[in-house]
Amino acid sequence: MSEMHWLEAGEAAGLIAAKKLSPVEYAKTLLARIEKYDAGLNAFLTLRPEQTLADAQAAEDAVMRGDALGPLHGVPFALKDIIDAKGWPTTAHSRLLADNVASEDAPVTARLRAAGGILFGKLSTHEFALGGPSFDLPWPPARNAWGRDYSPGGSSSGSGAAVAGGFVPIALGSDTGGSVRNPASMNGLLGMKATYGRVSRRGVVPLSFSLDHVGPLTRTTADNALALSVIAGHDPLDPGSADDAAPNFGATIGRDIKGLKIGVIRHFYTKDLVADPEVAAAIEAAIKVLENLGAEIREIEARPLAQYAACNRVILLSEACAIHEKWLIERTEDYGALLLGRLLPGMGYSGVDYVQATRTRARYTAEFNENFNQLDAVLTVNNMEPAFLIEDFEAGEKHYPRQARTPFNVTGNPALAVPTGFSASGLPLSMQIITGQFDEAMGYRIAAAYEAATGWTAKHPDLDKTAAM
Amino acid sequence: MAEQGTDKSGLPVAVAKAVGPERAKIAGDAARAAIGRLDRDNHWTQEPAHVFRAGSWQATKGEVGQ
Repeated sequence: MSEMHWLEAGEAAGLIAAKKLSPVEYAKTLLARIEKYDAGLNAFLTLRPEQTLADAQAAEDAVMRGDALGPLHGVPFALKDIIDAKGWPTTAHSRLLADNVASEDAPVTARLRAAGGILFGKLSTHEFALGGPSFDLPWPPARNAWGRDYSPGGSSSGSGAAVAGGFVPIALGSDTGGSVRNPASMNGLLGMKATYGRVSRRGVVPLSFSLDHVGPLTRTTADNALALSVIAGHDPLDPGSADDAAPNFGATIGRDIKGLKIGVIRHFYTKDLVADPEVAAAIEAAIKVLENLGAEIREIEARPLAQYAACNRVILLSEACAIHEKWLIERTEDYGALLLGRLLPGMGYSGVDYVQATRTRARYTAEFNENFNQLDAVLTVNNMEPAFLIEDFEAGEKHYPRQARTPFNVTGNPALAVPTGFSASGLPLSMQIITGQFDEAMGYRIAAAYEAATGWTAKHPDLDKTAAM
Repeated sequence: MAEQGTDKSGLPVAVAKAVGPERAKIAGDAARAAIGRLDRDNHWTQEPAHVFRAGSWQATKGEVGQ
């Protein structure tokens, strides 16, 4: 057995079902790790160890009784603090919701619990999933498990830090302009933004109704597919939910990738923006690995990144400002400076600007999806650089627009962040695998083949060195 | 009801008042820059992407991941 805190979720569930791992001992071990190291990482905003241990005891009792067990029975998970869990605070890491307590589980929370998962806590986020990393909020920002002087990315910052730090094997985040895939990139994790509508957004604090996606961050591909299989599915009370049954997304993991046709969008990182040489070298090496595994690689063209970014921005901020308008007027000073600065331009757009952006979006979506008539998947980079120093404001402002994620929030396609190794300074690097709408399974199949060939996901940070204050 | 109209920054008057002229000006400038970058080259018949259209989406392949 691996060290308990590095167990994969699927592996842990198997051991628990076989009575080789006690859910209570497992929970105690992870809670002790959080107690020891989270002061350095600030991943959690809320922990309730007694409640968590009671839930773990109930899970253990069910095993001993011989009850039917779900696929995550006894497995810890945690939630970005914009996702509701009944009776727990949902603060969005903001003064504005500091006293907000959820009256119900969000469907994604309920699905994780129904599968046997044990809720460990609520995780740090950029304020309202947009403003961060911020030092003027009631709670400090999360830090990177590979080096606490660095940002863990965002906005699902605590989700990235908690999974990379070995606090939980599964965390949920949300992704409106890349906020699952950015912390996945900066923390050496798998992060999935599935097809728009695949995962319910109900019970999740909205940032932008038409761009918000909820998705899992995990240390391995198999765990990510497992987590998505649990949380995906039609929610008739979410008007954006797709009426499409969720398959077992891991069903094709382990199949070879010989003959798969994979497009590469190089101009995103060589022309539209120029990536750090280590990021570019890592994806070029990944392309070689996939080629050696039998995939047919061909370079393709997409629209320039700036066009997708402008479309995403006008839609995102228009919708966000509709949500925040009243608070912007009445509770201005309760906002952190970063969120306020990022939101306000949305108040300057007109109705015509918004509708034009949604028309442009429809056009870009149709155009991009034509690729999948000939291709099984598309590859490109994730961030243009590895993690930046968290207290370097200028570096953070420069970093956030330098990415290739927003195109797939615009088009709604599945996009999976996949680790591609490490920089010379030991910081994680990442690429994205993008697939046709509702074809998340193809992304997992390719990612698993790549993971098996490279072993990047087997490497973990040594928190005694990286989280020490 | 919030005050209607926009101030010289281009933000709604009520918002500009709440955040102050300096923040309003920065935001207005950023809004104009973003709008300037937006591709508006849509045919006059182009439909928008409907926010909640996902219910009518269909998988593009019969068997996924194959």
